[in-house]
Parts: sequence; structure tokens; C-alpha cells
Amino acid sequence: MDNELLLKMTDIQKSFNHVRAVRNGQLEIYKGEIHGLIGENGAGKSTLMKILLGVHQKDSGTILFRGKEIAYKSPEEALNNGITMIHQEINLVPQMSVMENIWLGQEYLFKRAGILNRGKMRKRTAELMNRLGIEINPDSVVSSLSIAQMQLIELVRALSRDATLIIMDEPTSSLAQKEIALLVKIVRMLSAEGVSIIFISHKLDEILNVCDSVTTMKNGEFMGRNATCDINEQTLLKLIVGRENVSGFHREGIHATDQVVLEVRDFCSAGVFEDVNFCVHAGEILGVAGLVGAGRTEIMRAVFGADKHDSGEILLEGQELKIRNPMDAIQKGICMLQEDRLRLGTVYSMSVLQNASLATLDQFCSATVVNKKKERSAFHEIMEDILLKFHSENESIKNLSGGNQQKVLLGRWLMAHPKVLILDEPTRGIDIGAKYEIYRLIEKLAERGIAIIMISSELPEVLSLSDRVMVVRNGRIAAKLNRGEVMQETVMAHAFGINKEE
Amino acid sequence: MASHTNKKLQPEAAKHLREILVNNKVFAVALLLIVIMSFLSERFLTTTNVFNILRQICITGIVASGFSLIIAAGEIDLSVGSIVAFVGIVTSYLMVTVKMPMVIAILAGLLVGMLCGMLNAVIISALDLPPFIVTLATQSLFRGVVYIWTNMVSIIGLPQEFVNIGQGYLGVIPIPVIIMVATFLIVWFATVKTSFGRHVIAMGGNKEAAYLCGVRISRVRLGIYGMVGLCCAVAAIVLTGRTASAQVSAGNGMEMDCITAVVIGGTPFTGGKVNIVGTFIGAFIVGIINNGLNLLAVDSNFQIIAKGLMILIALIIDRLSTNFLNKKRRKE
Repeated sequence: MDNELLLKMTDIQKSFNHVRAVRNGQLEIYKGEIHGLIGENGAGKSTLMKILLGVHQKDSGTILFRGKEIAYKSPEEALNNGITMIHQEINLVPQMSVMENIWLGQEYLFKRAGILNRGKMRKRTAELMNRLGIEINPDSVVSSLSIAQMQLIELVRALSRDATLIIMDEPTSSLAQKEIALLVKIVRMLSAEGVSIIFISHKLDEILNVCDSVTTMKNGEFMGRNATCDINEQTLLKLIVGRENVSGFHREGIHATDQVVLEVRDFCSAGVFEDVNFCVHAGEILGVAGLVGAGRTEIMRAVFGADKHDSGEILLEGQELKIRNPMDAIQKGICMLQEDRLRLGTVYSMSVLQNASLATLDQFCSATVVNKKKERSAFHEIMEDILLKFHSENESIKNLSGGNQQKVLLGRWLMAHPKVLILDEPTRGIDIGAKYEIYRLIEKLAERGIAIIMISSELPEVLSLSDRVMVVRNGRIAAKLNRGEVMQETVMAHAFGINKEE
Repeated sequence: MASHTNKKLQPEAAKHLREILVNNKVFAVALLLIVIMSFLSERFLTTTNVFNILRQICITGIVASGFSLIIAAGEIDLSVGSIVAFVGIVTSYLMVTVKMPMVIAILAGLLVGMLCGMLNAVIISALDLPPFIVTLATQSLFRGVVYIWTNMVSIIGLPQEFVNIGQGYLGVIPIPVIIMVATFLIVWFATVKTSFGRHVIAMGGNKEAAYLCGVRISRVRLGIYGMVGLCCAVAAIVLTGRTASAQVSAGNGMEMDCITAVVIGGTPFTGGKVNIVGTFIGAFIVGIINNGLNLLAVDSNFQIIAKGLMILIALIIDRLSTNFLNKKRRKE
């Protein structure tokens, strides 16, 4: 490894709608270095990368690349200057061949009088592949390849653009052990050729094995830069978790009872989750922690009937339930606030009132005719509870702030008088003031005896609100922890899959 | 204090007025056209001519009323014209060849229309296929059945009372106009007053969110397409009566006329909103222009160009006013 500094990002700041995503971003990459970037979900890693690529523009700070200050306006511009990112989702055109994908957008290199010289293209492709020791036929159709092979194609494509810095976002998340070994081998080869790699991963052991050095981030802040030979999993975990508990919210009393409301037994969905067993009591808040993609949302969506499951039982108050779709769940008293408000929650073309009553409209109907008086009074009853400020119930929901939209959606489920309320990331994208109001509200609902399941990636939130915490990893329940024994580091250790005793 | 509330109220009222104007611009356009036409031709604003226009838009209007729901739900039905032809043939065949009583033949026709629509819905839902392609296929399918069944020969010799449905009057009002108004009222009621209507709009606005709220998309879709099929059947009966024969080419290109009326009427092509009254006005505007150009003795080929321009103008006005509104809202 040369000691030539390739990239230096200093004091990067970035806010979205007054929410700070990155407050102190620092990153140094040397030529030919494989550099890990690690942190919890929402730590600011991807925002920092998007600033580098020109997807977002930084609010302040400086970026030096090859000694020159840069501020790219688009990923295209970054690509032309040698920086590219390989995303978690494959970004290839599946119907086209390997070489067509590699040279997509660069066909002019092989054009003469408007006609594509495919032979030349094939030759150049083979040269690149040979350089990396990859054996894939340039003429195969991409959709016939494995995920691992597709990732290699993306690497080759990056190389075809003469990339000097390649960002890889969780490249191993969907690969088998053997495929990972091949990918790592090729990444090392690239680094030997002088290409620098930023390797984003949630796997601590992988970071320590593959990378030369690692930068840790937490809450949008730079936590440290370490050479991987100097640290072990424990010290890395400490950096990720940080020291303080910053939720600042304290529950006033615990109201959980012994009465089991919902019990899930041997829940399984092939390839998604398996062997899931848990129960929730009346008045209890069950926190569900884990990394994004661990299967938390998938398990709960299956309980709610939004997705299918292969086997297992759901018992509500001791009675076995058949839940085939969300309607069954809602009628039985199981409701779920979705994580993606825009895509899965709100209907932007409808009013506040219509959004709130959408799940319970049949309650206000006689012979399918909506009794608008009934609808409105039920709505106001719930909204007084939630203390929502709105100009008019007939206003379009898209005019409300994120926090108020979320309250309307919470109101939607309260109108169904649920026994079990599943909340998926209830405070995501919400400003701090509204966050506390939602915490209070969740607490109040638990006091009334509703069994609450709260999925959250914000650990302080989980720890300060939950009676118990369930940690999900790789589609399995990794741990169930009681309020007393719950600690940030314990939860994260289970989420990242390292054993504290070792 | 009083002046303070006044100051606050005024922009509030202005805001309301603005929203109402922008949401109902189709009325303004219709009014403007009426004024222009009545200056250009003195024969335009007479009772006879107004009923003429209404009679001319009846067939399209009846189908377009239900078609609004399809667009509102974010879907499309290209098979409406073929259903119209199919139902016309079925009903006439039952009356002329099978010698069935008129009422039963009509009921059978209505049933067939509804089932044709529902067939579209079932294929779309069961196989999760795009409505555009499915209804493109059934458009051809239904039309083909009509051609083969009739050997390309129209059915004539319909009973007089049946012909009256298309040609008769109740007082001064043509019966088809009464049927059209009734259809619009029923569709309007189903859209604005029932949970079904709410579910249609939710489906068009955000299908995934609606599903997660317990709305059974496939059932709502069955209702929408069934309703459109029924509207087609009603239109078919009126049309067959009016021409006193079941034509094999009936309803050709009708889907385009429906889209025109619905989109001019202010229902966005992307769905999530619906304006049934707007669709009526939209159909009326198309009628005014055709009628006006006729009165002015403009070549009928120019009328086709006029229709095309109208759709474009409607879309441009819509885009401009939406942008304007968003800008105003952002300022507030």
C-alpha cells in the first residue's frame, strides 16, 4: 500500500428538513487501501457516501480527492472522475448480456460509423476479466448468473470506467461463504492494482478480516479511524455503540400484565425467517431490535397477514387464528403501523379524515353507504386523544408535517380499537419534538392494556420504552432480554452476532 | 381584534376560492365554450340544439361515467367498445332470433355486459397482469366473437318499443338523456357516498397502503370492472335502439372517447381522485365542440384534430394550474 492520500473528507455536515443526518463526517482513504465503514442503521454512512457521489450536496465541510477540492453534482460526474458505488441491490439490466452491461453507456468506444464492433467489445471484456481472474462468458445473459457473479460483473464495470475508488455497500449480505471468499480475493487483487475500496458492512469479523483500516460512525458523527490490526471485535463494538444513552425519555411506570394477548409459535417462512416464537402481554411494550434486513419487519408483516408464511401458529387470547390478509388481522384486533409512511401508509390524494378512517370504514357504513357524521365523530374522538393539530379534517394529508402524518396513521389504527398494535419504526423521519409526543402516546396506549410490539433501529428508543427486548438476527430470534438486563452493548452484540463470553 | 381575525380570514377565504376554482376549471371551460359558440352561431343556444348535443354524447357519457372509476383506480379498460357491440348483438339476437320478451332480453344483455367486465377483473387479479394488456386482449376477443357470431351482418327487425328506448321522448326530453343522467347519478352516488367509492380512490392513490388497511383490492377491482361492464350494456341498449339495429362495428374507438371525457373532466390519468360531474362536463365539452363545428359547417376531419387539441389543452391547463397551486401552497 502506498502512503498516498486519495480522499479526505473533513467536517462534513448535512441536514434533511432540520434533521441532522451527518454532523461530523470524517473519512480518509489512501491509495490501494481497503477501508471499512461501519455503524448502526442511521449512523450516517450512506448519507456520507451519497455526498461523496454527488447524490446529495453537503451543507458544509470539504472533500479533497487526489489533492483537489471537489463537490460533484451527480453520480455521473463522480463516475467520470473515477468514483463509483456498487449498491446492495444489483444494478444490471437482466435481459442483456454480460458485456453489454459492462459497456452500457460507453458503447461509443466500440463504434465505427454508427455500427457496434461486438468483436472488439468481447475482446476488451475478456481482457478485463482475465486481469481479475474471473471466468464468466461475456455473452451470457445476466439473468442466468448467480448473485455473486452479478456482483463481479459490477466490479468489472467499475474497472472499465477506470475507477480509482469503489464503494461497496454490504456486498456480502446475499452471498454464500464460498462466494464471499471469491469476492474478497478479487477485492484484494483490485487493491493490489492501486484501486481503493470503501467496504460498508455490518459483519464485524468480515471488516476485521478484509479491511486494512476502518472508520466508525454513530449518530452522524465520526467515532474513530483504526487500523484493523490494532483492534478486535469487542473494541469495534464499543465504538459502534458509543457510551451514552441519549434517548432522554423515561417511562413513568410499567403496566405490563401476565395476561398473554398474542402468541406466535414456530413461525417460519422459507428463506426469510424460521423458528420464531414469542408472545406479548396486555399493557406490555415489546421492543424488537436488530439490523435492517435481519427479518424484523418480515416477521411482523407475516403476523399481520401482509405476507405469507409457510408454517406456524398465531394465537390471540388463546384462540388460534387464521390470518390470510390484513383484513383478517384488523378484524381480529391486530394492527400494524408500517415503516415506510410514504409508500405503505399514506394515500396522498385523500384527506386527513379519509386517511384515518380507511382501515375502519365499514364500521361507519350501513348498506355500504358511509355515514359521514359517525365517521367524523369517531375520528375526532381519537384525534383528541392524540392531540393532533390540524387546520381541517378535509385538508390533504400531504400538507401535514411528517410527525403529524404519523399521528394520523396512528389514529387510523386506534380507530380499529386494536388488542395488538405493531409499530414499525414509529419515529423514523420525525423531528425530535414530535418524537417525544409519539413516545408518550405509545406509553399511554400500553397503559390502556394494548399489547405493543415496537420495531426500532434506534437503540436508545428501544431501551427506554420497552418492557422486554427481542433481538432478531438472520431471520431468527437471537435473544430475548428483560428490562433489567437490557444494555445497548448486549443488544448490539446479539444483533451483530458476537458472543460476549468469548 | 376584529381586524386581526379579518386579516386571517381573508387569505383563508381566498385560498378556498382558489382551490374550488382550480378543482372545477372544467366548468369554466364549458361555460367559456358555450359563450363563444352562442356568439358564433345563433342556432347554438336553442332548446332543440342543447338536447341535440346531449343526445349525441349519451352513448359516450353512459360508458364514461363508469370509466371514471377505472381511471380513478389507476387502471384502464380498452375493451369497453367491444363490450358495447357484444351486448348489442346478444340483446338483439335474443329478441329477433330467439323471440324472447324485450325485458328479459334486456336483463340478459345487462348481465352479459357485467360478466364481460368482471372477466377482465378476474384475469387481472388472478394472474397479476397489467390491465392495459389484459383489456387489449379482451377487446379483440369480444369483437371477434361478435364478427363470427353475426357473420359481419348487423341484426335488424327490432321491436318498436325497444327502438323507442333510443329514439323516444318523455315530454321534450329524449329518453337516452334521461338514462344517461340516471347512470351518472348512480355512479356519482356509488363514488361519493359508499365505502366502495372510497376504496376505489384509495386503490388509485396508493394500492399498497390500501391493501395494508384491509381493502381487498381484487374485490374492489371486480366491482369497478363489473360496473363499467354494466354501463357498457346500458349504452349498448340505447345505441341499438337509436340505430334500430345491432351494428357489428358499434363502439369502435369508444375507449378513447371515454378517456377524453374523463381526463378533460379533471380525473387525473394516474388515479387517486375522481370527478364524476367533471366527466359529464367533459363529455359535454366534446359534444359542444363537435356540434359547434357542425353548425359552422367545418369539415368533419377537422373535428378529429379539434378533439386531439382539446385533450392536449386540457392536460396543459391541468399541469399549469397544479404547478401554480403547489407553488402557492409552498409559499404559505
